[in-house]
Amino acid sequence: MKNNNDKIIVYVFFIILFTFLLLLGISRGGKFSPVENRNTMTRPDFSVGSLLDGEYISSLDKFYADNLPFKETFAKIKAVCELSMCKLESNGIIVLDRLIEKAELSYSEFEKSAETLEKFKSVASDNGIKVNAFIIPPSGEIKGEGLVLYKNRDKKEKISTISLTPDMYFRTDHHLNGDGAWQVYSEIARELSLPVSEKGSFLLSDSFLGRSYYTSALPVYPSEKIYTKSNDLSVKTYIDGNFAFDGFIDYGYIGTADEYSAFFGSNHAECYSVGDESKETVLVIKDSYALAVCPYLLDSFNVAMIDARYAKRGLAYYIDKYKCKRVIILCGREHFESRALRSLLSEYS
Amino acid sequence: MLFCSSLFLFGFLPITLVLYKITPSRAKNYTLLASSIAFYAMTDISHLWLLLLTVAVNYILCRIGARYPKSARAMLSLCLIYDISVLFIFKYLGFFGIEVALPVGISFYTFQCISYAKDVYDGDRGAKNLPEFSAYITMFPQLIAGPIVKYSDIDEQLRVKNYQITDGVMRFSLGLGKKMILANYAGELFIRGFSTETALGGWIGILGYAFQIYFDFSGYSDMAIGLGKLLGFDFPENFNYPYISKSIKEFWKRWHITLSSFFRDYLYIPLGGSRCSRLRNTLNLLLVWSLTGLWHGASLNFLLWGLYFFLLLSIERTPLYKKTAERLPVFARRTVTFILILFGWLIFASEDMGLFGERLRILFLSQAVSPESLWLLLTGAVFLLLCAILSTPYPMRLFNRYKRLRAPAVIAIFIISVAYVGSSGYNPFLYFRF
Repeated sequence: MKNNNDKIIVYVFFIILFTFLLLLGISRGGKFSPVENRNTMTRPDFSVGSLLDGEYISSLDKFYADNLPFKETFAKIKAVCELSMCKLESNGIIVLDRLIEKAELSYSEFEKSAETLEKFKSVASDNGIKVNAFIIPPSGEIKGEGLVLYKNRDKKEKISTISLTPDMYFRTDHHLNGDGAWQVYSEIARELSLPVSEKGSFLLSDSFLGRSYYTSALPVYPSEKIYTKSNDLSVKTYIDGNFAFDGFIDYGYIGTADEYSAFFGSNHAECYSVGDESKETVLVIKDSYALAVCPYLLDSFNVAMIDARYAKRGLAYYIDKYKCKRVIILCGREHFESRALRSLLSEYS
Repeated sequence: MLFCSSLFLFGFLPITLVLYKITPSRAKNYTLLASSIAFYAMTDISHLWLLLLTVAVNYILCRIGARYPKSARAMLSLCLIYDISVLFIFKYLGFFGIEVALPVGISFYTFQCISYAKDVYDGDRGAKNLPEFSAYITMFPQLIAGPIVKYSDIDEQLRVKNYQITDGVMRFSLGLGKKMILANYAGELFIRGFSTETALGGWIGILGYAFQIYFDFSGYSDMAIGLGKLLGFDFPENFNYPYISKSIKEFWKRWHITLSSFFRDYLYIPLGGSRCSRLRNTLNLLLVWSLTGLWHGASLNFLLWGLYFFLLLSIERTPLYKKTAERLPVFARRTVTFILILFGWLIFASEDMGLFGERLRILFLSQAVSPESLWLLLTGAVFLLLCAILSTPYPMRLFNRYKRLRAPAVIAIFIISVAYVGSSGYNPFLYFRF
């Protein structure tokens, strides 16, 4: 059964085992993983008590799994291996001509949110505040619709569900690209009777790889370009009440694995971008889908953005603080269906 | 601690192998015993006492029985009472509404103790001393998921080791591949298939479950056998391509072989086997298959699963069936057997009868297809075909024929398996979803 050629199996097997034993043995963990955007687990502290109750071994097991060397490479090997078995999904990402995150949508939740929105609009209107809502559909879904992607299923009269085409999303990320962001903005501009600015051609990054790319771990998709409007440095951006940077771009994110977060420095409870103080301030209740759209709104407004998931105060506080007469809800469909958004709106109602 | 965890692969295993290697030959069983106890403690420390107590009780009773032949029968009875009581208390009290945490590996090590006690009673010489017996019972490669090893299988090797390093590494790597590359995704198809609530999804799901349980269990057995070879032991085979069986009887000669052998040698034959009246034989088989089912867990579905096979085997024994089966081509017999096995898995996988009924409804009475189930077919068809091919002996024949390709193939499987292990801790979290 054996031949000399087989002995190489033994060498490779033991080299891998002992190399990893050594590397994990000297690792203390806690290193920052740029792709995962988090620190890995630190080596658990040993105590007799934790050993006896099984906690130490359980933590050590997690430590080994979390700090395994070449983890990203392994994820890529796994993804390619699965793709070669025609599994057109990798770590929950659908692999077609682009990478598509599965959306978990619910009609009943949508209905609830739509109802809450109507009540909010009514109360806001009584207070002289105009409300518009723009719901961005997820880049793709298979639930209920099979492989029909980007189909607009909701025809609520007072909610604009924006129709977009697949090429308006990044191929490696679930967000809107430059074309998509401008498309959404022009829809908003038409709705609000604003002059429509030209599509931005400022190249923010030419090597963007989005979250779907990292989650799928498939190394077969080329990087993409992020276009936006040019960064107006007369605009000052404040995050959670503190000055953060000039313009709307946080260049600290460029060159990292998370370049999309360069728009307004990602998601925060409260973000305020102000240029000409005489301009009206619009309050945008948003999620990350809005980040690429809001730069265009700066042409017409000062923009205060709040994120329902992190907002520390009620909506009334922010409306008063920024003296807003207009509220725009601009988010992805999943966020629109979230309880966090409903409670923010209903609290005002 | 699973064999496919990072902690085992890159911590416990290499350290144990080094310690085992540097230990002098005479003391290797002690190193093996110590590492096995450490392995069990790392897996289920709260029940380590039970394992050690069971080992001690069985060893002492068997020694007394061997030394004082007049008491042998009584000692065997005490061993059986102890082992079955332990099994009953920790595994089957749930039947009566009393929840007790299940000690890891209890079904395997109590059965090994029972087989040892019976073999010693029948005149086998048994272990030389307590450490040797303890090393046999607690040996970590087979401690928590088998195969069920009889003492006579490894008696010689406890004294003179039979190292087969290359074969051991190959077997372990192939087992790891079965578990990591095949079994896990097959399990995903099972869950996702039935969740589509369509007939197509249901059939994908049940096929997924059949391949999951086969590659999971046989993969684990392969890893155990491979580790045994690295440590100088030859464990018995546990699987022999069960899905190519032409009858249910053949299936049980190919599936979980050591369990079937245990029930045959220690229950069926002592009860009279087939050398008794037809009625008695039927009752014997009924008991064996009920217990085979219940061995898998304290749940009604396992009992029904055992009885399902009792029924099928009883039908197979009838002259009418034999005549009919003989006329069928081999392919048809294999297909019919496989479909019957699939139904068995449906019972096995359904914790309660409500769920079983629901899954039957999905298979036969629900909507045929949906976009979701078509998507599942699109993404899972090649994988299921691959699983079907790998469930036959042909790939292994090719593997053994083309020896030059063996090394790169095993290395690739091992590295890919490690990649699967490694990517379990991969959790990209770039920015918030919304």
